[in-house]
Amino acid sequence: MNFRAFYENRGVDYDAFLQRMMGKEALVEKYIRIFIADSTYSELAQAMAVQDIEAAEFKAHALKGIALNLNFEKLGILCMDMVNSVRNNIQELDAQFDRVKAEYESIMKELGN
Amino acid sequence: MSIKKAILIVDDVELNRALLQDMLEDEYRILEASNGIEAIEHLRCNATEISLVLLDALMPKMNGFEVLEEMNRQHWIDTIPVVMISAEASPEFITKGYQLGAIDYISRPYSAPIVLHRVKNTILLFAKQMMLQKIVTEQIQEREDNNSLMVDVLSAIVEFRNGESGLHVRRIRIITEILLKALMNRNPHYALTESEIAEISNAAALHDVGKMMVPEEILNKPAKLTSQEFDIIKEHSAKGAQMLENIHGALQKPMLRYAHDICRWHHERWDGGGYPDGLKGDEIPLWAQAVSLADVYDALVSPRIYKPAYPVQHAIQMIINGECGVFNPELLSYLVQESTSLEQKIQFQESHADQLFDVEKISKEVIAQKDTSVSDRTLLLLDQERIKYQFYATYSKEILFEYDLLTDTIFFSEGGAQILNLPLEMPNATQWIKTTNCMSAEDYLSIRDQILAATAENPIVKAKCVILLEGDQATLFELTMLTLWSGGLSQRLSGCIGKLADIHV
Repeated sequence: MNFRAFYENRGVDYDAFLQRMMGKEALVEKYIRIFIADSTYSELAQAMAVQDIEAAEFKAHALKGIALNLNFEKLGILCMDMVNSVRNNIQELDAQFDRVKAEYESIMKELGN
Repeated sequence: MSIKKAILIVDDVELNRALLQDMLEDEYRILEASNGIEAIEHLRCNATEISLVLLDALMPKMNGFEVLEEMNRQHWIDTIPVVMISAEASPEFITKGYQLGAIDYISRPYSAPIVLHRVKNTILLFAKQMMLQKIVTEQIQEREDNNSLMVDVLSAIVEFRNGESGLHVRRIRIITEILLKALMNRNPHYALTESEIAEISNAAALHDVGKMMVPEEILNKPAKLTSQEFDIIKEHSAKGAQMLENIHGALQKPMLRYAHDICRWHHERWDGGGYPDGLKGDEIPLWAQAVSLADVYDALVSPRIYKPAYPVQHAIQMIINGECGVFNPELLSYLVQESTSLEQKIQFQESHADQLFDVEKISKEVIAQKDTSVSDRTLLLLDQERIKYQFYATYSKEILFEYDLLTDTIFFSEGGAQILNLPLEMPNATQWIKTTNCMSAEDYLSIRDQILAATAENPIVKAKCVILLEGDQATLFELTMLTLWSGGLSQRLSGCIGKLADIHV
């Protein structure tokens, strides 16, 4: 898979990202593979399905960390919105999760899953 | 080959751990924990091997702050540096980590070079601090040993003359310490430190030194004393203080100043009913108050030539009843509270005489200068300054350095060392500059003269000099230095910090 094309399509400076990864494309591939197999997103979806708000906040926070580490900036921001709205008692969680879901699925699709 | 240092990575997300592991595994041995409970388990089993903990804040089961709290309880935080990692960057969050003892903070997304530098620097700084602490601890131990030894000799002489067993003096020392520690822990108003309590307790052993001046026939008379004889005995407190006043310079030493006050006023009473000066309440120095209570208690529970030993609770009751005069009610309440376990504590202390004082704690106070003046906030600011400096030093293209006069060592910034192709630390710096021809003799002498001419009021030194880089390439640098001064009134040069800027064209 062409990671440069994938990242540049998403508006990310791939060279800067690669530098953070010690210049090793193999590591990028490794983390993307871990990301695809990671269960955090499905746990977040599960928490939202049963409206377990506390678990949703926790999982959204974890997903935000993962997203930032992989330079999925938009996904990171959307997750942060979820965390903030739980903390500030804002009632938009479902709509916000829909945006996270759309972004996550778009990433996964482009990654060929 | 040296064994790799171990780093414990604590993060609930596998991907985050994998990232850090890939960045660090070339230089360090990696231990992993996916939550706080696992982290504590690792620390329990490998506390001595772990050089650094990278700690995520938000985790299931036990979060990062709870891990820090446990590390405080177990005192691991004293020997193992913790760097917090999180995507959370709110000030309250970071401050909480610092307040719980975290040394540094890295936020996501990680950058491999920054993580490596931070980790390396933190481990190095901590190792240096540990080494310094060990040196100070050894010196304090020696000082306390010397103090105790001198006091032991003196008090043995006094006791021999008084016909008492050596126990009395040692017990008074311990009881005084127990009373003052209770006061320190329960009433912060007094702001006593471990070091002060150690000195007061040592000084307590000298409370009866004035009895050297009392004739032996009176001192050890088994029959009832006449009121005239009793007056002579009562002179021992003022005479003891006088002895210490007569020693030149003695009252400049805190320990002997305490001893002076204790000698003179350990027979004063809270209501003014004591001697020699009839002082009242807080006119009597706290240390003399503590020793007077310890002295009376011990006299009651020990056999004397004129009386049997009373049981502990009987003795306490006599003191409460005011049969031995009136004491500071707060100190008395601590004596009553401690009385059930007092004899046990004294015996424990007696059998651990070599650990009479918590030397390690005292050393830490000395290092931290833990008056009330250094607040957590000050420490936090210092820490931030250090992080800032590290950051600038890492990314600056200029050559930054520190020079320590005492050890004649130059410390270069990482970038600086690279440009000059020199190690980070350059010991015997003067010798090295003179023998290698990296700088001309004129340049060296002119810079040296400028440093010598600098003062605390005019501390900046500026010069241009030619330095031979690798391959004998002569390059013109502009040198800017700030000379550093220490030592209060008599300002002494302690070194300088500075930068070399390449102005070669």
